[in-house]
Amino acid sequence: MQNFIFLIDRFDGTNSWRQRYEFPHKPGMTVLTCLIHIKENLDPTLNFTASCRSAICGACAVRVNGNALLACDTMVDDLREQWGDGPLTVSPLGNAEVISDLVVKWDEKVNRLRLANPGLHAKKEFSAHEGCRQAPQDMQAIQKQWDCILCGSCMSECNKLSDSSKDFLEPFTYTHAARYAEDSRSRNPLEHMENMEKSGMWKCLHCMECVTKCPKGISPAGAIASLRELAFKAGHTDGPGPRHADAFRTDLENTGRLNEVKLVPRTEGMVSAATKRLPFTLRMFARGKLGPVEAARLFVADNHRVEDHDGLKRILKANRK
Amino acid sequence: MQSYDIVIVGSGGAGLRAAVGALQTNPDLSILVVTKTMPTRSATCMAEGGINGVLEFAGQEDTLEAHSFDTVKGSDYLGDQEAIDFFVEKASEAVRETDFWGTPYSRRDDGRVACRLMGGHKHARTNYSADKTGHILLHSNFDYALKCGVQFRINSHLLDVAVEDGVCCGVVVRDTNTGEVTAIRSKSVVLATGGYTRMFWARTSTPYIATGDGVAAALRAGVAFKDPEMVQFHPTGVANGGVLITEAARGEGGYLINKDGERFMANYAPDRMELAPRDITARAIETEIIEGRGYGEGLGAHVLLDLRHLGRERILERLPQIRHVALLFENLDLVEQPVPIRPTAHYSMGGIDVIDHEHMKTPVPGLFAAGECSCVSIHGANRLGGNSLADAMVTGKQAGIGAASYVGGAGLKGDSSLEKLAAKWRDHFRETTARKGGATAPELREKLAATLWDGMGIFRTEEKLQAALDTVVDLQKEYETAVVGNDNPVCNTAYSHFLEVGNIFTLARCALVAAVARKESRGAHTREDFTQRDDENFLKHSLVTVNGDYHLDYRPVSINRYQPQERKY
Amino acid sequence: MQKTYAFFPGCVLHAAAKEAETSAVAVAKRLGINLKEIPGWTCCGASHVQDIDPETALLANARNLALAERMGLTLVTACSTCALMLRQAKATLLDGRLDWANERLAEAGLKLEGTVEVRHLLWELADGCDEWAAKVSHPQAHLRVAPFYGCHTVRPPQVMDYESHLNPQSLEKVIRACGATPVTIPERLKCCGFHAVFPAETSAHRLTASAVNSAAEAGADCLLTPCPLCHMQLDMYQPDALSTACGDTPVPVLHLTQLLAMALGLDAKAIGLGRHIVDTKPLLASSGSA
Repeated sequence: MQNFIFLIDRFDGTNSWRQRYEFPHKPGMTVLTCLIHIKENLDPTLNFTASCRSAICGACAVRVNGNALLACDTMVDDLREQWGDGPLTVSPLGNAEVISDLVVKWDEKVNRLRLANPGLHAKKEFSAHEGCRQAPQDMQAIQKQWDCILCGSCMSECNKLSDSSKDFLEPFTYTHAARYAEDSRSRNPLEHMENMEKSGMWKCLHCMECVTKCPKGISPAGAIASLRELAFKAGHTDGPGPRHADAFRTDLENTGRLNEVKLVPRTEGMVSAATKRLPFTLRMFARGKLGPVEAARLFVADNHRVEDHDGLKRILKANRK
Repeated sequence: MQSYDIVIVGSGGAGLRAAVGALQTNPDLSILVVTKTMPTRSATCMAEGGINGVLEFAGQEDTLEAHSFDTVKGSDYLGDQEAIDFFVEKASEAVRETDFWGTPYSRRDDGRVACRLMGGHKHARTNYSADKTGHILLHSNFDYALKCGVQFRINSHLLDVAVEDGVCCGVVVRDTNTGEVTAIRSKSVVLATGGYTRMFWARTSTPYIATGDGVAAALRAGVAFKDPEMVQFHPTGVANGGVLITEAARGEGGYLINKDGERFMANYAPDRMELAPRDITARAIETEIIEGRGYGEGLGAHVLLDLRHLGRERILERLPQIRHVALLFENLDLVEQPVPIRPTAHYSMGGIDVIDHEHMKTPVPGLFAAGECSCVSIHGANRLGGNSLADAMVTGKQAGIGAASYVGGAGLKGDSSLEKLAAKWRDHFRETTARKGGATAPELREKLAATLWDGMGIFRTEEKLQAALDTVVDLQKEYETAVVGNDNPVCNTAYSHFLEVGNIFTLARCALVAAVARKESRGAHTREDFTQRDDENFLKHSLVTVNGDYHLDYRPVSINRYQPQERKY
Repeated sequence: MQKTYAFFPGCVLHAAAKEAETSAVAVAKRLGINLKEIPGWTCCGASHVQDIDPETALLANARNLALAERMGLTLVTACSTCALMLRQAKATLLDGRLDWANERLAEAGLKLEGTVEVRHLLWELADGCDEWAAKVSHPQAHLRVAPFYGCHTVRPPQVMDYESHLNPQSLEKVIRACGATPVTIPERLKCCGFHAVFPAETSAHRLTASAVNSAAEAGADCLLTPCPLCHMQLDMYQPDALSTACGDTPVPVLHLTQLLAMALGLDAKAIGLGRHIVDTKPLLASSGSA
């Protein structure tokens, strides 16, 4: 087999460069054993973090060819199946401040995690002295989200965070909020949701990178969805996010299909639709994306109802019983 | 100079619990958790089985007394009985309390916390969350610490504990991110830095960071290392590195096979075979290897764990995690091939000398210790499954309460000691990183591990221990001129590791000093030349101090209830 | 060889992206693929209904799947979000919610076994590449095309498991079969921003602009996407995106089936290049096709 070649993104606090390391192939090496081999045999200045080496402490997440993974839990031979036998580029997690080489800074991430109000505020009937009671299925409902090891893989390629972290949090933060909000022992689920609502909960792009990258199979996007559901059901229905979602639901229920013309006013209100979005609308008319007559009809009336729309209504009604 | 009421070093289960315990005692205290990694990277997350604690409910047959007795017996009577009585009571409390804070325990149908039976216990009292109890407990403690507003100083490596006029006055840490050495003044310090099993580097189940930094710092501050020779070995770690293959593999019916294809447990425990207790199984495997019926040589020698007869389906259904471990570390699929295994260093029973179990005080006023780095002793010569997480929770909380209660009467002082220590460490960085040519810390670490495994492993003799001690003294000398290989102050993890290796050398030498002198077999300390427990001469704790030389002393075990009897199961 | 599919156009193909439907239908016809529209299909929830009312979304998709299953055909959709929502719904239903759904579907005389396959039109076209490549009469050799997959085309891989999510090649394969040259841009697998264009407008626009700017810098003549929602974002919002992010070179955006239709020499009206916001004429200038 060909030698392993690692191209590692280095940073020594001042300078950045990409460094090439070549060493003999050995079957069964993980990315972590390769990094250790490099540090202890080729270059003691290389920096990375690792602790448990069995995928439970979360210390060793890095990116290989731009994608986050746990170094200890990834065989290089498997990576070769994906990327071929050529060089592999190893870089620090994305969307994080780099301290050196593959080491990223966690301080700010931890402080942002506080926004989720982690920690259970248990129902009145429970006490520290007696503990709680919980049905097995209620524990199972939150079990997956407790698999989070805070490795940071979910944040690394998050498209929203890559654009801006000012109005969005690391996806694991939403996971933390959701696991307490959805806990049957929780006194007031909303107290875990409310900060999330103010901190980007409706701004998730649904890019699915977090779901894809989580080495534990958790869906932070799913956590965000469940927080949105909680917010909506608690009457937090104002704002472009919930209104946009509600517009889809209204159309689905009323006719079966989306009414694009009504979507903007429903999401942003009539004023915005008539002013801010006017150039957009005119563009649509000009390029024939939408005919003015059709637009008027859709706005005044609605889509035609889909075939057997009554059937759909009966199905949904049966569920509400 | 930064000042705090309490500085807690370490962010595993015990450190986090100490921080919360202190803040709950007095929310106005200024508290800082100093940690060499991001919190939650600690060994706590690796515990799978559960947390012991007897819960009260209708029809409960288990009692606190029973838990206490099992722990005393498990410790081979080296545990302090008063402390153990206190511990089991608080362990029960810890389970209820963490449940109340949000730890998602597995549940029985009636909603109560689920528990399982572990080896050495008469009753099922190990409360669990699937097979991830440590992870779950660690993270719920971290979450709760965030809720309480605990502040962290991440990537700060403990260098020394400062003591002035016999009183603890703060710590000196190195900010790994920048390389800056900082003195932090504080009225009290809680050490919660974890175990020292990494002295067996290539043969341990514990994380890379378990290098006993706190125990070493306490030694330098004049506090004794209690029972350092007591290290627990788990029978089945993968041959390559020592990560645990959990007992479930044998529980499901796995065979242990030697080079001759023989199920050798028939010669050691014919009735229970592979299901014999941990220590018997560990000794059997090691005997096979020593007598030439294993595979391979040196630290890589091993026997095989064969699960193939269970069939693919059952393995995939019941043992997916174990299959994954075998794939990762041995690059083989245990559906098709047996896995090379060997015992592995698993837990440090010894630790920083704690003289007051209620407040986890060390002999130095203002200095407290909790968790695996501390030694009351609750576990004596052998820890029972499920007692480690309970220890982290109980001793963590008590240390937090202890420190919080202490600081009321204490002042901030010790600037000159702190500055002196800081200056010493700044020089140390300059001097060590300037060295050219010499052994590297990783090289010495591997030699140390091999030396300890052969000399202070599962079977010990005067001769082997003394030879190991001589070698360690030599290696330590070599360490004095070893190279770091990186002189950049920024994030110099090579230097951090250099410090860690220095620490495990100190601790290993302490352990050897105590092990040579303990001429008996007790718990994890098995002497081939003294095969019996000797209560007349050794029903006492070893206390090693370092002041230029290594000095061994003893303290009697506290026995208030159960007189020692033969430990039989 | 005639293949027949239960076609799930998705709402957008019946509205702003009509050109995606006309081109899909025309291409299918030329390739001997029969797209039978599923009578009575509804919105898939577009991930938005799933957020606030997951059971309504799940039931709507159970109904969509049951309607396709009744036709005895594989469901094919030309929208990546529809594909993900339908596949995700199927997985959820098969994971213990089938009986629950069927109790409710019975109200409309429907029953779901969960046997219906859900495929993306891209996958059909990529799989059939070798077959239809021979029919390419107007190779688009003058075009440098930057593939833009769209998140839901490949992620999450547990649900969208057609090809590697880290390095998919289906679009490149189709581009080459059309005689054009694929141009790789860093945003190839990134998000266009569509699903949060209202709550996170600036972010969405910057993501869009980033893809457009990269395509321009790489010298691509156009972007190509298999998802009509990405298309809406990249094309319809491109003027806003470029003004938000100070981009100055507009790049036309093609639907997957438009490129194919051009390569097959199909009727310009079916291709619908005139319905784009960003001018597509430059794509035709030197080709003389379509």
